[in-house]
Amino acid sequence: MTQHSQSLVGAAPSAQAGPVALVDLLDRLLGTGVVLSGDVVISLADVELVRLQLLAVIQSVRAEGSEIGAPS
Amino acid sequence: MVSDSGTYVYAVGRHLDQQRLRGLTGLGGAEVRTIDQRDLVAIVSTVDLEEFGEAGLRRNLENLAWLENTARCHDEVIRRSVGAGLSLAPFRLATIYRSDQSVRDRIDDLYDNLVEALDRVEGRTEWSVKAYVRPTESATPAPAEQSTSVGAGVAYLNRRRAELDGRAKATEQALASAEQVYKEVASWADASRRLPQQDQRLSGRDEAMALNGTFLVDDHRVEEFCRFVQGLTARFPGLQIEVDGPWPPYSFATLENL
Repeated sequence: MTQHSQSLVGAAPSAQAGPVALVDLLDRLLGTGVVLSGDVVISLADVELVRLQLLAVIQSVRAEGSEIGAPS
Repeated sequence: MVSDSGTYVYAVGRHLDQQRLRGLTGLGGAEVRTIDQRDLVAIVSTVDLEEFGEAGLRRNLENLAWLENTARCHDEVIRRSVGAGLSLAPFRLATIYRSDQSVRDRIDDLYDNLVEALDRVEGRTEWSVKAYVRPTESATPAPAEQSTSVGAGVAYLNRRRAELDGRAKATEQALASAEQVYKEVASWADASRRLPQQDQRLSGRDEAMALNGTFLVDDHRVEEFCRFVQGLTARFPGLQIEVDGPWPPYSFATLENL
């Protein structure tokens, strides 16, 4: 999971010590990227909805006192 | 009803060395495969519509463990594919077609736009630059009031007010600095974009976020870029600035004019 840093741009310095933080990943995977419409079964056009749902999930997880794998 | 399957698209690329994608596993353990259309290649795998159809997705997106697994798998396939091609336009999470043929048709329809996006990101990677408001407990201490004529309660309130004012001012200053940081880094990068500020409950950070910027950087200038950003730290002491990457160009492979 960490080797990709090197393979992308040779010997570039990388600030990524471990796996990327989920929140950083979702910023990009839900908010950006190529969006094609048309014959798509479903695509996440309604990003706000997803973010809200995510927040609700995290709040409920926190309320139960469990860890959610937040970045350290 | 027998469960139906669909074609999940991770990315569209150009000049891919398809041999290097061999053995790559996608969502649900399915093999990652490619669909050639003209000179472009879609990186896909077959998914079960019970899980990835409209109803399934609505249900599963509320399950954080499912979302995390899916996002990490999507990211992993894209990072491995970046290593196998010159240029890659990653797709948003959960773009699913009813058949391989629908994927081909859409690539045909949007060929020019896809090529434009691929041209934009070729030879470049995405870098995240975030800034947090540095806590300033002792930045503006209220002058100690020795006056005994003022009641202790009033003195406390005055002190407290000065403290809050100081903190509000520090936050305001930090936001202005963050704006400046964004502009300077943006003028340096090939493209730039602001992502939504992260909620502290999601980031798990104690400090408030002042900037969540992301930048497209030429592969040949990456080291220079990182040095430039790190150099900003000295000039903006009110901010904690963090650079992180490389990311596949998620934020810059968007299709224009659609």
